[in-house]
Amino acid sequence: MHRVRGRGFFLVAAVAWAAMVVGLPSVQPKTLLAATPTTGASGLAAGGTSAGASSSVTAPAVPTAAAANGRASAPPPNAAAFGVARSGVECRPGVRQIPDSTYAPQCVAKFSGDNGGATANGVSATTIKLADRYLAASVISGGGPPPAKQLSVINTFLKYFNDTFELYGRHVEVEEYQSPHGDALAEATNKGRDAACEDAIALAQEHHDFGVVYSQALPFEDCAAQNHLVVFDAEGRATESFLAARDPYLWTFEQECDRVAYSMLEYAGKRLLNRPATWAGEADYRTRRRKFGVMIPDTPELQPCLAIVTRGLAQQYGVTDVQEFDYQADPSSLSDQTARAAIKFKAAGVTTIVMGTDPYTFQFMTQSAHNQNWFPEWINIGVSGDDTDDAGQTYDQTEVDGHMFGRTEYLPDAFYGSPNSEAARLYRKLTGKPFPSGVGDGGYRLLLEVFTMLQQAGPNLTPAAIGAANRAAPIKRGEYGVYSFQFNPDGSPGFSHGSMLDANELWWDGSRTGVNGKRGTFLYNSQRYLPGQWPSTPPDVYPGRP
Amino acid sequence: MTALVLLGNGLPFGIVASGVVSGLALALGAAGVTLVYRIDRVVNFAQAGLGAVAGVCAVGLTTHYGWPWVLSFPVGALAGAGAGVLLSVAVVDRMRDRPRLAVTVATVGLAEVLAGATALLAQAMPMRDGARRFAVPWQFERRIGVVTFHADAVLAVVVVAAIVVALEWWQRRSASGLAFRAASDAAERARLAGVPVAALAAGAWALAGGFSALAVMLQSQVNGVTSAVALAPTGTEQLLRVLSAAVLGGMGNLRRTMAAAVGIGVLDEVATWEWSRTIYVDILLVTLVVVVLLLGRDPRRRRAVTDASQLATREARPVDRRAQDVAWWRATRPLGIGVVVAFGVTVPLWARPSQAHAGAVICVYAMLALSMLVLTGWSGQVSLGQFAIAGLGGGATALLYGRHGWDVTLALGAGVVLAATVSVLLGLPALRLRGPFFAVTTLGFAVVAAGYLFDHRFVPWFVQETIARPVLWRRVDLRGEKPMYEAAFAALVVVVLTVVNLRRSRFGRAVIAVRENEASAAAVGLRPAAVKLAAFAVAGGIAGFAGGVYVLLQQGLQVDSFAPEASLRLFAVVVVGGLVSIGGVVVGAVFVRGTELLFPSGWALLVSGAGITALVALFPEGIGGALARGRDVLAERIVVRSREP
Repeated sequence: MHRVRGRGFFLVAAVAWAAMVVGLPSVQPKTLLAATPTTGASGLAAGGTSAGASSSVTAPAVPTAAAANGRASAPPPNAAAFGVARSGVECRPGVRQIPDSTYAPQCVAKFSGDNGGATANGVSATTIKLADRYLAASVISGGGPPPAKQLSVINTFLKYFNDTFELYGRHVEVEEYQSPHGDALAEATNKGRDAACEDAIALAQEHHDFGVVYSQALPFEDCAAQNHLVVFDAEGRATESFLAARDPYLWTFEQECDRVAYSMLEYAGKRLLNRPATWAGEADYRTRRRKFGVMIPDTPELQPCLAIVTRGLAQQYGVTDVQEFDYQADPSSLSDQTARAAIKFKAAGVTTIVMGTDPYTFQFMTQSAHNQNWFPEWINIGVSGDDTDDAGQTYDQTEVDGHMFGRTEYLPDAFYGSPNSEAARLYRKLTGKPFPSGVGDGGYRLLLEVFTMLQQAGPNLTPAAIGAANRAAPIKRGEYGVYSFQFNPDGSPGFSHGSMLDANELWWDGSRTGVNGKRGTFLYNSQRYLPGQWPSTPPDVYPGRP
Repeated sequence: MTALVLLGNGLPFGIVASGVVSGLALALGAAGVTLVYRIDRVVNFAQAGLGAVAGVCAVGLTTHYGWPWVLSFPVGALAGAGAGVLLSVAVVDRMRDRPRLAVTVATVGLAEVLAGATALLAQAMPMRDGARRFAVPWQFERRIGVVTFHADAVLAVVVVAAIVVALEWWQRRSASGLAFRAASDAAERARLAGVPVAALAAGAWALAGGFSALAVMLQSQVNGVTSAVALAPTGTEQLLRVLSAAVLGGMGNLRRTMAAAVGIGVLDEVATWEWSRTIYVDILLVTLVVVVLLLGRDPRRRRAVTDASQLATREARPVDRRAQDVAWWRATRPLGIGVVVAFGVTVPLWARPSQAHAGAVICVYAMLALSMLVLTGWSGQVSLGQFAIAGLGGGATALLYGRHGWDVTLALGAGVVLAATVSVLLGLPALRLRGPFFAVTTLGFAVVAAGYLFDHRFVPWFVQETIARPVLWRRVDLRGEKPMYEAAFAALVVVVLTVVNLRRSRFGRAVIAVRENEASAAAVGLRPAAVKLAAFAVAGGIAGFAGGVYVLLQQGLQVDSFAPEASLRLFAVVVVGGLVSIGGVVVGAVFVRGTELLFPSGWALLVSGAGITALVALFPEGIGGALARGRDVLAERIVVRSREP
């Protein structure tokens, strides 16, 4: 008894724990997600199951193969193929909901009837609530709310799309949501998860939003999926497996990490391999066959994509001597790491360096290379904003001017605000005014895709319906490129959660002035290439230069 | 020769030479840390920041304003020295009588402030088109093997060599050097002997600031990366290297410190040459540091026993017994506890789901803070890797529950056992290493754990990235945020009760007795080594349990949730909260994380770098200590009033 005295608490705790383990075991649910809260008083999903409540991360609501087979049957449930659409167009097969864009969906006759009311969280008989989450501006990470000028353009498009797209008796409300505690820099480096999850919970369970129009980082995207929020444009550059594991919640109009990798593999294999490094700064390299180096952060998210390139080069092209440098994205040691990378690449005789980095690392790397008198070809793969004029202008110009080219899914900076772009033409038509400068495309492409998904999902709007509609959506082509969810990241027919398919070639010209008025800009070929279609000819860059 | 054979890529001399040059910047940083530690017994986490601000100024003066390098370089060095003096006078001097742990945490806060200032400056002074390069204006280029060296590298060698010689001469030949040595060995005795310790300390900070600025500028020049953005002093990679060099030098011997830094530079360069993967270099570095520290026979490490106990703040003393005689005062304690528990229990009734989620995160932090109370507050060991221990417990929980289908309570128990075991293993070096020596080994462990152990590419059998929250006892579905909060709060209550009971037990008394005086404790029959390891086991177990709850909350083991920065932050949190009492630690965790996660964004400034510095300056014994003092004042008044007729 004496020995037990003073240890009563621990004895009781141990007994209680043992009792719990033996007598009251816990259960591991089959789904990651708790039931979806709904806003409607009844909480009932009309006209079918509420997929939000029944879907799980591990069990996609719609089998991929079935969706791929149903590719041709684009019309959503209950949609009439003939009749007059809300937009006023006479519906026939091949006619789009709005005539202003080749990306608009197949038109449907004006809906009348019961839309099912509150079919999902954030959906009522009359509204679809979406959020535009942004992080507070800070010195280090930037961010902040959209400026008033941009907001005005966004609202113009929002009103137009609400008036013209068929939303089955509903209209879209986009709430500008400033994250109270989120940190853009932390989330960009996969940290700050607590605050990101707090936002996702708040948007799903307190603001009762159906989805979020845009996200830039993986922590929020993961939390959004956990909370049944549809993210229409998840730009965290995830792998397809990350997005698929969170089906049907995360979608993107960018290329997934692995799609970029497959594209790069094809680009390297067909256009670069077994050819001299013609565009290298080092005269000696220009007559040598290219030898590749790859620089990429050492993170579990990105390394599988690097493996696609290195494995592919080995298996498809027999190239086994690719030099890798996997760096830590730690600002305090970044310049040391780029200095070592430059030494190592130069010593290995790398003629052509593929940069899968952020613009800062790209900048440091070009400076370190110059410091080591190493002047290779710089391959820009168009990730993390590496291919914007603002970024290119910070790179060491001796290194990149005349020596940097590559592939990107994006279009020139000048295109997005161009008066001839689709967005500018529509804005001029709607307002009679010229498209304002400095607002990008005013959210046009993003809103167009969001409304397209919502229309295609049909009146019984649920995340699963979005997924089903995307699986059945037709390929879209236009001035922004080719979009479809019907292809695997490697380009084969199938399905993936990223819709951007093609890419074009770009190169850096340090002598021309960019749209920001500073020296240096990226130039692009007008030709875009789908997966498998890159020609087996040398890069079509720097015309007129030897 | 064996080493050369083991290196598949060979060992070109140029690589070694490049390692020497890059090690010189580390050497300056480590020398600064050592000087400050010797005089103030403070591990200066703001060392890199001191110089970064000045370095950015210098680079900007050249690349933005077009100043010649010969002007901006010395201006940068002087600005760094000025920043050191400013920091010493404005912050450190005012905290001279405060616990060293509080001052150390103040430097953690200052590091954040300086990083922000650096970013601001870098943005304000962007490089202009066609601007001068921030580099030595003399043309020199020499290729050694595969590496090209410029005049900047020569300058780095010359500057650091001159500094080494000057430091040696100053320490051995000058009166102020002698005084510095005396003040380093016994500050109080030196002060009594008329040595101006405060002025010497300011001088040490000035040197540290100047060294830091030189390190930043030289590193930038040698690497050829002259962008001001490159000078941001954020991240733990460089911190680990600088601190490693300082502890390898015994936190006192400048020559050995600088030699160790150069050695680390060479190791870095050679290992990167061989592997091209920085995490492998980190693992090698940490292993090497631990081995060298364990095998070395530096008396300073033993002397740090006393230092470690001085680091910790004293526990809050019991309330005046006479106040206990007042009936309503006696009732305040249970009433207060009742109010707090009632508040915690009723959170789900009024809080929004996002607030409940934040509340659960706060509970996890509070549990981790309690594990730090046992380790640092009771046992006197400063750990900078407690989040990594939590990650191990969390990883085991996620693995066994999520992948192997164990009952979640059993999996949590297994996580506790694993975390406790690893904590004991990590504690073994602590039988020989104290204070900063041990802190660096734990920081190293945190870096390696986050970069390797919790990464599914390297340890796929351990890392379970996704799990579904359980339904406890077939009734309580934790997939909702409010039930999850309730579970986390219940877990916190269990941990609080555990710690309270441990403190009252023989174990608690023994741990504190050993911290206070090992020899006396041994004389009364305690085995200090066993007691210390038991403290590691308990602290590790609590951290493992908290980690288990955290992975349930996050629905999987998220590698970046257990990053080394989180451990540093936790260290700051517990000191801000105060290591004086269980309540103080919990209040601190609730205050810091609550401000970050629950209050409007502007309030986060309060617990930002500047806020933390201000808080530890105002409340050196932490918020818990301040509350305890307030309680004592109140008790005293009650006693006085009760005596009045």
